[in-house]
Amino acid sequence: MTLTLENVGAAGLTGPLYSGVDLAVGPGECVCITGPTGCGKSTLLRTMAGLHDPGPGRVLFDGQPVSRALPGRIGLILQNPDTQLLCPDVGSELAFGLENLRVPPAEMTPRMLRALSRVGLGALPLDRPVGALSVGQKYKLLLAAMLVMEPRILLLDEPCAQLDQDGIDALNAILENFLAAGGSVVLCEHDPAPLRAIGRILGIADRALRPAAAPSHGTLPAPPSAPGKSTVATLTDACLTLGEKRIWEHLDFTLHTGEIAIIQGDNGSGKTSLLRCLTGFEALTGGSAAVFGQAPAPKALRGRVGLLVQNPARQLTADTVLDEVSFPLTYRRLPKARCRDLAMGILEKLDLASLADRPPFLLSHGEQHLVALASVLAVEPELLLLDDPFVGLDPASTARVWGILHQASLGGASVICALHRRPAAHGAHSVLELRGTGLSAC
Amino acid sequence: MLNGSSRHIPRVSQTQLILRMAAAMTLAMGALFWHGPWSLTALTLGTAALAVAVGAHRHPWKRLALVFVWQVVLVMALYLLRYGAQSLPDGALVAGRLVLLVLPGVLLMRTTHHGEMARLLVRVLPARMGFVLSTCVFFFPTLWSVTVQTYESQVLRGARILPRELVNPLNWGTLVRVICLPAIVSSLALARDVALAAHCRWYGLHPDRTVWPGPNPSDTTGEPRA
Repeated sequence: MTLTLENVGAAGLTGPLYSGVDLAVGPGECVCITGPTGCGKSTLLRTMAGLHDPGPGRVLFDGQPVSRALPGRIGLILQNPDTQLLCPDVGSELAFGLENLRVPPAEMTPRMLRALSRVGLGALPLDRPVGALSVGQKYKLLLAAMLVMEPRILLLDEPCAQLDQDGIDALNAILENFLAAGGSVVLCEHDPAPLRAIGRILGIADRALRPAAAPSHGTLPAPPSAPGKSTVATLTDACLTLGEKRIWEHLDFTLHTGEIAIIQGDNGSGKTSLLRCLTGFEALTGGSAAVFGQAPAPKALRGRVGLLVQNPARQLTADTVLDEVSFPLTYRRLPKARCRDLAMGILEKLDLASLADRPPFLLSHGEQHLVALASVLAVEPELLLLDDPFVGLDPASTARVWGILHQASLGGASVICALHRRPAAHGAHSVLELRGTGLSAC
Repeated sequence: MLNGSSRHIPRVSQTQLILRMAAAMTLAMGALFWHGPWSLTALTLGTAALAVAVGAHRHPWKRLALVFVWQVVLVMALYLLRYGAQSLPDGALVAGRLVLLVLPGVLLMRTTHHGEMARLLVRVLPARMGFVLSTCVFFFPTLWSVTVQTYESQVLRGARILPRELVNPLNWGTLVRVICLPAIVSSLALARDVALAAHCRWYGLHPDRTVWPGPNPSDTTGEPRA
């Protein structure tokens, strides 16, 4: 059972992505594909699954074109579990693929229970609502929903992107079991280091797939200067309860002028809620919050606080990058030409001027991310709140974002980055861990 | 202001859910097609009864009421401008009927668990239609949460789209530009992702599918459904 790619190529919207790709993946092998953001890693993975045209070449599964492979033998899992879990409860989710393959109903439940135990969710009742699961459990359920169809090859697109450390540990165990049973895995990941099962690393560079070394994290420059003395934001003995669930309590936090702080916490630990409390969109259930010396209120913080949400590329709506960045400046009632000049200045500062006339939708994920950040920075906020700003970014783009944050810090802006995993390298002044019982330095 | 925080929605039995959905649909259809004498009175009483039955008073309702008040004022203002003061009673009737058309569905969505509705739709409708409708209902909270995030970041960037600022029609264009258009883009991206995820699990491979009997095997027979 081998997956073979012969002379595979693909083109993107702005030109060829890669060509002449030859690859063979045998049983028990785990291959990782790396490369800069937008180089075509996901496209290659979809080509292996038969969902994308292989160009002049072909993709074979056991010598047969992949389109003729037995249904269910190749399983592709994309990045975000939230958009791939299609059913309201665990049982329906596991049964979905089996129903599509017309598996007799009597065989379904035993197969589903086996798949659940393979991913370590054996204790989960089949009628448990999917919405009640953590992100890590959702990813495991997605793996089980694929394993229930008994695939021989698993294709995983950035499996670590949404997972905290516990989720990655569980994924390692699942992949090792799958490989030991003779399965094959091909995955795309910017940073292969957390996954022990990877046996071979290939990289897309100069439009070709070549053997590659694990990308180095390098060393990011230290934060530009020590934080100032004046306080920008504080939380004092803060508590938050959502519905009937206590998210965190006894949380104390102080951020000073020019300080860059990382708040790291597992999936569901309440990082996004913490940022919302600092903007006044979410009310604390206990304790107090202050931003710029006052209780946070969206109207008062307008223009002073910049918020970059998860997956910011979805917010891009303008025809060109320059329009996208200049649009928030129009709120200041400046003449249009002045707004465009200021926006161009920001793009030059961030080394994005060459993209000014290009439509944001045609940019790579990393470039879209940087444009969204430029759009937030356009109004020169004094406090930047960034929710998982490095998800899906390659090391080069990550370093560029840190450079942007250091520039902002030099200008007196304070920054809070909420991350779901402690980064291997960072350029922040402080790293704090968020737990249900509060924040602690780490 | 949009509310992004999670609310606790009590679970109900399948029979209660069917009754709620049937009542909401009947009332909305009544508002659309039944124009007989006393129709508005009967529909208003029916909607009020539905609100009590689903426990609407336990959910935040002031903002919702404000939206409907603005809608009534807007419709009556348009009637006044177009047809003059003598048409105001007609305007009030149309505005009231619009409220009665939308309100049952809004009550249902706010007080009923989306996952349960999705599950019911899959069971009672033909397979393909059930999948499409249940997916729409199931992914509504995801889309809503993305829209809330966008709204909050745009407000902080300077967009004048807080509830009181939307009284000024000059700010409506901003709302469309920074919230409605991204919401449409997000929904298209979500639809693409969902379709791809379904395709990855071989949805559509055969014209019919078998049906998992569920934790309780008496629910379905497991026969293929077209």
